[in-house]
Amino acid sequence: MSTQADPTPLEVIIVDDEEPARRLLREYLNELGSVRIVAECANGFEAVRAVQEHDPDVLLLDIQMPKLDGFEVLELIEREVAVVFVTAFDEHALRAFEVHAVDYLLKPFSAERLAQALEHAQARVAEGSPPAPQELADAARPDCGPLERLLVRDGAEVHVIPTRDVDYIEADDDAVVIHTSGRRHRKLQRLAELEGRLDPERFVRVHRSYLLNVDRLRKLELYAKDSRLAILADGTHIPVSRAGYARLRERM
Amino acid sequence: MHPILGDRRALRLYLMAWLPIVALLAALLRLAGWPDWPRALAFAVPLLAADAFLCLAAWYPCRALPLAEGVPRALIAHLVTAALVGFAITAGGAALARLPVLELKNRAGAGLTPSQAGLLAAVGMLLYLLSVAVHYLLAAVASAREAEKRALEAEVTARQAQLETLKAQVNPHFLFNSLNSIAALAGSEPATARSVCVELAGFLRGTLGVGGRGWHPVSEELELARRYLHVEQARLGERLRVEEEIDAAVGGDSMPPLLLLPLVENAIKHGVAQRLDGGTVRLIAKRRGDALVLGVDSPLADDGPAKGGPGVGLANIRRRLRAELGDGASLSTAAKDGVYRARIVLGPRDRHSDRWEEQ
Repeated sequence: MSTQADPTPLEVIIVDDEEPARRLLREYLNELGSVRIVAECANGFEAVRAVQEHDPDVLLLDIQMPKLDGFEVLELIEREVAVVFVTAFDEHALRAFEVHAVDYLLKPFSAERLAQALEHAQARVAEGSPPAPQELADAARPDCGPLERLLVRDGAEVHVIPTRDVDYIEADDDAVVIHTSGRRHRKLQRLAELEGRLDPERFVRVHRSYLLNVDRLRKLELYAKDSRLAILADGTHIPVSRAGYARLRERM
Repeated sequence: MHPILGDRRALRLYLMAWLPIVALLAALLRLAGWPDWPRALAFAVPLLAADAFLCLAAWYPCRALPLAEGVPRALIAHLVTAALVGFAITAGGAALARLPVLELKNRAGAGLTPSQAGLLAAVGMLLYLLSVAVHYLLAAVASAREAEKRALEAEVTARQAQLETLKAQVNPHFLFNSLNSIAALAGSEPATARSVCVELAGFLRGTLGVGGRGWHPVSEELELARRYLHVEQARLGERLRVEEEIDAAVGGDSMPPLLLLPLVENAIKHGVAQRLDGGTVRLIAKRRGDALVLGVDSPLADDGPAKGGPGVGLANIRRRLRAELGDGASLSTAAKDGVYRARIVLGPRDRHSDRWEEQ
C-alpha cells in the first residue's frame, strides 16, 4: 500500500459526534500505519478550532452533527485540506457527492474502503489540488432553502448570526463585512455567492458592493442624478445604484 | 327545498315529462264529454302545472319516512296525502271549470259533472303516488352510490394507514448508524456489540411483525421503544438518558402499532442528537379518565440547524390516528422550558378494547 511506503505520515483529523464512530475510525487508522491522528473532534466547533491549530492533510468529516453540521464546518475553514465525508445515509447528500465526485465513506465501511479514500485524498494533496473547503461545501451541500443563519469565524471562535439580525452586508475585496446592530463581522466569501444563498425576499442587492436587509430600510433619498441613499432604521446611509433602485422597487 | 328546483336543466326535463300527461288528461276529458280540444287543453295545462309542483312536495314525506323504518306507516301517510292532493286537484278543477272563459256548460250548468270530478280526483291521487314511488327509487339509487363511495374511501384510508405503518417500520438512517456502532464495538467491547445486535434484531422483528396484525398491546409498543433506545444508547453514549413514566395498568390496552415509535425517533433525531451534551428522553404511558395517554418528552435542540423538523413524522401520526379512530384520538405537541412534549390521546378505552377483540 502506498501509504505505508510514504515516509511522512498523513496527518488526519477525525470529526464525528458519536464516540463509537470515532473509535472505529481510530482503530482502522492505527492499523494503516503511516497515518497520524492529530485531533479527534466531537462537534463542529472543535473541528474548526482543530483545523486552525493543526493544519491537517485530511479531514474525515461526519455530516450530521449538533450545532454545526459538516458542510458548515467546511464553510468556516480557510485552509487547504482534503476532505472525506463520512455519513450513514442521506439521499440528498449522496446525490450531491455523486454529481461532484466528492470522496465519501458510507457507514459502516471497511478498513480497505477507508484506505482507498485516504489514498485518493493523499493523491490530491500531492497534486496540490484539493478543492477549497468552501467550494466543496457549496458543491456538495444539498439545496435546503435560503440560509437562516450566517457563520463567522473569529480566530478559533465561531459566531452564529441569524439572518434576520443582519442589517446589511458590504463587499470588501474577496470578503464580506456583515453588519448587525453596530457590530461588524468579516468573512471570506464573495458577496455574489452569499447573495445567492440568502432569501431574495429579504436581501436585495442595492449596489455592486451592498446587500440590504429590506426590513431595515426606513427611507430613500435622492443623492445625485441616478443615485440614491438608503437610510436605515438606525440612521446608517447606504448607497443605492440605479440598478439597485430598480431591484428595490420591484421588491417593494 | 327540493333539489330539482335548484337545477334548471333537471327542472326543464321534469316539466317536459309532464307534457304527455297533459295530452293524456286532455284526451280523457274529451272522452268524459269535453266539447273540443282547445278547451280541454286550456283546462288541463294550468291544472297539471299546479299538480307538477304538488307532486314535488312528495320529496318531504319521502325523506321523513324512509321505507326501511316501517312500510305500513309510510304507506298510510302517503295514501292520506295522496287523497288530499286528489281533493285539491278536484277543487282546483271545479274552480277552473266555472271560469266563464272556458264556456263549459253541462246539463247542471257551469262546473264539473260527478264523473269528471271523480276522474280528476283519481288522476291527482295516482300522479302523486307515482311521484312518491319515483322519489323512493331515486333515494335508493343515491344511497347505493353513497355507500359505494364510502366503501371506496374507507379502503383508501385503510391502504394509507397500512402504508404509513410500513414507512414507520423502516428507517435506513437508524439501521446504518446502528450497524456502524456494532462494527465499532466489535473490536473493543464485543459483549456490548452482541447485546446491541440482539436488541436491534428484536426491534426489527417487532416492527416487521406488526404490519399485518392490526392493533397490538401497549406493552409491546413500549418494548419496541425501549429496544430502539437501547440501540441508540450505543451510538450516543452518555448523551442519551432515558426515563419512564409508565402506569403498569395500561400495558394490556391495545393501540394501533408504531404510533409512539416515531415520537421516540423524533426525540433522538431533533432533540438529543442536536445537542452537544444530549439530554433525557422520557417515555410516558398512562390513563387519564377514560383515555389512554402515550407520549415522549425530549430536550429542545440547541440553537442548531432546524432542518426539516419533526413535521413529517407528526403529520403521519395524525393521518393514522384519523384513519384508525376518527375524532376519537389526537396528537398534540408543546415546547416549554427547554422540553418538547408530544402526547397522543386515544379516547375512550372500551372503544379500542372492542377493536382489539375484533382482530
